[in-house]
Amino acid sequence: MSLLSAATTATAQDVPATRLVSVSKTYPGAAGTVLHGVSVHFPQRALTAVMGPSGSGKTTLLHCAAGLDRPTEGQVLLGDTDLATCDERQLTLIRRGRVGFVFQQFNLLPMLTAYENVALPLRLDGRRPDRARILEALRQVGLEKQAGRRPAQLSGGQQQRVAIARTLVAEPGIVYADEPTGSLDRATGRQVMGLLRDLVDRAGRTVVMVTHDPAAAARADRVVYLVDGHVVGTDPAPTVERINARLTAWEN
Amino acid sequence: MWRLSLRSVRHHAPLFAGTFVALTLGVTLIAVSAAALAATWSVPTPSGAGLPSVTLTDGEGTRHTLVTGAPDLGGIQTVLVMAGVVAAFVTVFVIAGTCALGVALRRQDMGLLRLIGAGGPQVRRMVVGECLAVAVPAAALGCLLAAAATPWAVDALNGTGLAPVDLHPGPLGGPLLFAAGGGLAIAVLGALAASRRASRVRPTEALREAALDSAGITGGRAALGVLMLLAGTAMVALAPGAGAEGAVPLALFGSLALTLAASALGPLYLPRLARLVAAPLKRTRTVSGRLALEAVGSARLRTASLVGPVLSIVAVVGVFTSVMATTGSTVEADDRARTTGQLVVEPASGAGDTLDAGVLARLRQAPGVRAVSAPAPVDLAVAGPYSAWQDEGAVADLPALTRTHRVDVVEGTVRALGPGTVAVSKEFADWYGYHAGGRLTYGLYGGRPASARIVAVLDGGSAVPHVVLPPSVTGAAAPERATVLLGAVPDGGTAAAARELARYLGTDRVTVTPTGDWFAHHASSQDRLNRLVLLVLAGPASAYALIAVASTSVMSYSRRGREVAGMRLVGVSREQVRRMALWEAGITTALAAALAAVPVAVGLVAYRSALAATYGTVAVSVPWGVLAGLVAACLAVAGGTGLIAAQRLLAQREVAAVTARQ
Repeated sequence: MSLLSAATTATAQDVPATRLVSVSKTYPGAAGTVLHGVSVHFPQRALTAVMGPSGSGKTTLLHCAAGLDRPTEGQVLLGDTDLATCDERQLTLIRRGRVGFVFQQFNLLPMLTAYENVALPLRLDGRRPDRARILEALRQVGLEKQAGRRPAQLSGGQQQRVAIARTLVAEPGIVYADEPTGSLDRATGRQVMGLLRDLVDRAGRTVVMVTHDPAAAARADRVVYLVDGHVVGTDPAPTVERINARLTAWEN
Repeated sequence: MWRLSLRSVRHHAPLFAGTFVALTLGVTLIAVSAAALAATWSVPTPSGAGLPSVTLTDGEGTRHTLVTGAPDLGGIQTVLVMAGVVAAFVTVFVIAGTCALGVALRRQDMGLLRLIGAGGPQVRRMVVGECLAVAVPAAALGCLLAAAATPWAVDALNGTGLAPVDLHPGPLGGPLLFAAGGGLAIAVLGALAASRRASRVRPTEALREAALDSAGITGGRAALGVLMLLAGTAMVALAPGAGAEGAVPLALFGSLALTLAASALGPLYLPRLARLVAAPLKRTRTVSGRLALEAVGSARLRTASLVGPVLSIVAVVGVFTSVMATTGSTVEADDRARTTGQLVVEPASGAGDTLDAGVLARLRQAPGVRAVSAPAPVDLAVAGPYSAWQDEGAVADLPALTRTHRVDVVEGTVRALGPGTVAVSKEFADWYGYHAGGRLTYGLYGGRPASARIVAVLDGGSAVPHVVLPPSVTGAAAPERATVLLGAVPDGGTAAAARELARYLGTDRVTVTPTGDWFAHHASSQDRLNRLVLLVLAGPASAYALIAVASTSVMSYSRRGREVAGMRLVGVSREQVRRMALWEAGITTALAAALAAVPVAVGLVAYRSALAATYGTVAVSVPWGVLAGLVAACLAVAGGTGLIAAQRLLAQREVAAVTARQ
């Protein structure tokens, strides 16, 4: 773990956390190609949002970038590591230490309490979890009182916050989020977005987020637009108005 | 990962209940069988001193001393070993099925574990750990149950009269340890197979909503299935040429291997088969039937685990009972066909178990009697070229025997046996390689070795003992019955002849029965014995399979809350959900019974042609009543538990269930 964090900090500020080079993806048995030679990079210590209509390949892009899916063609570089050349064991170690996930649903193991879910990555790594550190992570997401509850006793937003606390404890360099505000009301969505922003601004992590929500995307440092498996543009200074203008253009 | 395993077992209790119950019962049954077997071993064997013995020298010059007097426990031991094997067999089926289902129903959990960095080996350790967390207490409980049940079971076994002496349970330590160890090994093996599957779950599975287990089967399972299919086919193919004796294990184990193959490969073909079999349902307008069909057809592993226990128990009981019944009825039919004598003379009740010499002499001179055969059974020892063994023979008047029974002479000629000559049965000659004109070294217990010339090899079914000794040999017991050939049947038929002969010999000394009646009575007492063996063999395993059916059903329903709630939301009525549960139970049970019929039929056809090579008439007999009862019981249990489980799901608030985070 210390080696991994050393590698992360040694990387220069301007080298992207993750780079996709001419990535194409076709699913066996599925009609057509989902990603067409996509080249995109996610800068370090920044919150990048990926937006696009349904079926544009956003989630596939996220899965390829995170090493959950192998691209049919192209390269995926996590720092200096080419994920395409990693075997299953190396990918497991990367997921354990360098990459974190926050999803719309099913973030947590149902049989474990919030506390144990947060502590799980450390246990998987063979380390004894530090109780104070885990409670601190839960406190940061405002859930220290719910530490003993199971996922079924938590609301959707609370479950997402537990997943964020998990990424605080595991200290991955980059966090991938798929529709993190998708099933939340606006207030809870804002709260979750605030925590993701904090991950970037305070903890110095990189966050990549797939979203439909213009309000969430506007909190990002950068927005990448994806249509039909092609990157059709990036917006380095997104606002709700400009995002909405794009979305309206697609609808027409 | 051990902590995680414990948490997981506690959280998913219904998923593990099936494994727990199955293993507890499996260990209990194996332990009781082992304890009863140990009891047969601890029956005091008479020491050599003071008992009749005979010393023979085999063809290589080695001397063998054989002692008589030991009760023959081989039969009961075989039955107990088979009962244990059947129990272990069904346990393997059920545990492998419940473990695989448990993993399949938790793919999301496994995927999430992988997503946050659990390695494949860690997931495997968790799954095996879960299984151990369930298996250890299950094995312990099984041992407790077995300790309580053994005295009762041994008493019951003594009550059946299958053992020649009363058995007394000995120390239970060994059998319990054996059963617990075996049970844990079975559980770990089942979990290992499932854990491989679990470790292959991809991280992205955590993100999929669908709880359908539509994936195919693992390579190991496919390999096992194909291997069993080949082995079973080879055994069944060899059976017809293996002779009546050799065909029994080939037909039995061939069928069992085919059953294993059918169960292992189930997920591959069951959904399609279900759709095919239940295609007529689609023509009807029953919504619940169609829903059930789709559920059975789409959830591969769930369907396979529901079909598995019913398939295995119906096939196992089917093939064992059918082979036993067919053997029994074929031998009986053959005996009946070979007996030309019209009357059977036995001692009257109260007049001892054997016919004394005076009665026999008087019988031979009775008016109208043309031939009397009364072979006197005798235990003997035989020395072959390389070994010596215990065998059974009879002192008999060979010409009379060939008149009262239709006996085919395979080699040599039939004539009155003089001193120093014997005849042997075809079975004995084939098995040990003797021919007419050859010499046989044998000895009666307490006597001296003798060498005799074989004058004939005879094929006469059970009418011809292995070794027919000349009347000059002394030391045989008195015969238990005599078969009488009449010169002419009087006007009143054989019944009148029987009455007349009994009056002539004295009704207080003998009973005389027409051959047909005698066989009918004899067959029913043989049937009773067969039924007892069946009860010991298949009774506990059947009860066990029924419990497995119930627990698998509970397991699968424990993960269907959303599905049922979703149906309710789109307007499926409660009644339709209940009917769907019944339809599902019906479809899976019918599938299982139909599938079980295939290995049973294949094994039985092979066995039939093996018997046809030995016996003139083969009477194939299938205990339809027993099998129909078993299938009906499976159907009732599957339907009942399905209904209860569905009812429980219906009791939940629908909206809450749909949105519930499982």
